[in-house]
Formats: sequence, structure tokens, C-alpha cells
Amino acid sequence: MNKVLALVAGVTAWAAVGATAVLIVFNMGVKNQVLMFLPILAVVVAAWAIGELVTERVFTGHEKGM
Amino acid sequence: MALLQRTFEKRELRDPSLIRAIFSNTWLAPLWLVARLYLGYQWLLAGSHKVWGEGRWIAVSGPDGLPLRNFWQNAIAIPEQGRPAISYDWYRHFLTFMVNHEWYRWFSWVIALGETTVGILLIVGAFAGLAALAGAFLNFNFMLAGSASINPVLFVIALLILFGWKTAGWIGVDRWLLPALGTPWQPGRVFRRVLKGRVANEECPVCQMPVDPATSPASAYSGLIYLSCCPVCKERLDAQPARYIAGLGPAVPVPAEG
Repeated sequence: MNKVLALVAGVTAWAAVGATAVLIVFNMGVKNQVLMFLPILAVVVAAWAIGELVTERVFTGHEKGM
Repeated sequence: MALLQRTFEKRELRDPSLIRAIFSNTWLAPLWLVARLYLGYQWLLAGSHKVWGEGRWIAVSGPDGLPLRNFWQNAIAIPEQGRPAISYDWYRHFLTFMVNHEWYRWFSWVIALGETTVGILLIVGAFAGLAALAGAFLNFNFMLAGSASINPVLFVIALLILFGWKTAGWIGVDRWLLPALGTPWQPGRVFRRVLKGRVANEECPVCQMPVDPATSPASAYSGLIYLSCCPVCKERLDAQPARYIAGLGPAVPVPAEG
């Protein structure tokens, strides 16, 4: 159960990154690309933190041998 | 005969440690993340203009893909003076064929949704290598059609991500997606469950240590899965499969992983 929740948390965090990127790029003008990029970067950092602190802690060791 | 044998003998040439450090080691994952985000952002931006807004290519009141048709027509035109945009005749014939058959109506959907999808996949780091390959293919076609713009830069970045496919999505979904799905030569957990009846060994073929069906590195040969006890043994097995597999018996079902 822990594994499922951890995986859902990680995947949801990265899905939020995708959704944020689409919403921002599709709804804002392209005049200031830096301002458009910053929120995406912020959500990426948040997703990375969730992945490290929640998902990877549960799944550590599974990727060995890739 | 000896000459042919020597030329075509199976011999693995190892990458130098620097190349492995760049393309196969996770310590450079932050760099790949930056490259991925830049490339994904550019593709998402390009796709958004074609999917959404006044000048979109698809889902318009008239026929879809008219801007694409104009792009193709400009590309295939041969000016009276100067060089044409397209250098290769076969590519000009290909685009002419697509214009004449009104393929821009459905091809505009492929490009618009393709660019958007590539952008999203690169940003979230899911199938980053495949997304980079698709992006590079799009860049390649735009360049063949005579459009330089930022395509050469995006193409080079896509190639680098393609070379670093194993670690490009490490800070992203690929960190869990790739181990779960695996590769054709190394099935992941999902496929191991499907193919669990085809695991051929309960001991490492190299050192005879016990293997764990849930976590041991796997290799696929002749339709069967062979588990090694550790990555080092897997490397030896992959280098000389016939040496280690010859003595193995028929497939033995293993218990399902928990």
C-alpha cells in the first residue's frame, strides 16, 4: 500500500508539472518567456522534492541493474 | 575466411569512462533536466501555436492545415534566381505528393499534437529518449524543408538527450517508469510479471548465487528471461551468453513477486 501511495504521489507531482506547463504556455503570451518559464521550473523543483522524499524513499533499490 | 571471421567477430568495444560518466551516470541528471526543460518548453511553445489561438493549424472552421500547406508550397517552389529551399529532389517530390493529395489536412494534426506531446513528455521526463528522438525527427524534416531557424540547436540537444536516455529522465517520471517497463533486452517489473513463467533460472548463471525474481537484473535470450544476482554478473552474462546459458535446463516457473 505504501508503494502504491508513494508511486501515486510521484506520478501526480510530475503530472502536475505537465498540466502547469500546458496551462501556462497555452494561456499566456510569448512576450516574456522567462516569466513563463519560472512557474514551470518551480513546479519541477516541487515534483523533484516529492519524488526524492516520498517516492524514491519507498522504491530505493528497485532501479538497480538498469 | 579468417579475414572475414576477424572482421565480423562479435567483439564489444567499451565506452571510455568519460563517455559513461556523461551519458550513463546519474550525477549529471541535473544537466539533463535543464536540457530537457529547455527543449520541452520550446516544443510545447511551438505546438501551442499550432493547437491553440487565432493562427492554429487544426480544428478551424475551414480545412485544417492551410498554414502547413503554405509552408510546404513555399518549400517546394523553385525560384527563377538563387537556390531552392530544398536541396534533395526526393524530398521535394515527397512534399509535392503530400500537397497534391491534401495530406496537410491530417498531417497538421500529427505535427501540432506531436510537438505538444513531445514538449510535455520532455518536461515531465517520461520516455525522454523516445520524445527526444521524435523531436529530432521533426527538426530533421524542418531542416530538410529548408527551414533553419532554431532547428539545428534543438536537433543537437535532442541527440544529446537521446544518447543520455538512461539518465535524461532521472529527475522525472523515467526514474520509475523505465525500471518498471524495462527494455527489450532487459524486461522490467511489469513485463517480468507477464513473463514470469518464462524465467529460466533460480540461480545466477555466472556465479550460482540465488536470484530474486523481483529485483535481480534480467536479460532476455531465445524467448526466456535469465536473472543474474548482480549487475556485474549480468554484464558478464550479456557479454558471453552462450558460455553461461548452455548448461541451463528448461524453463522453471518462479513464484509471483509480492
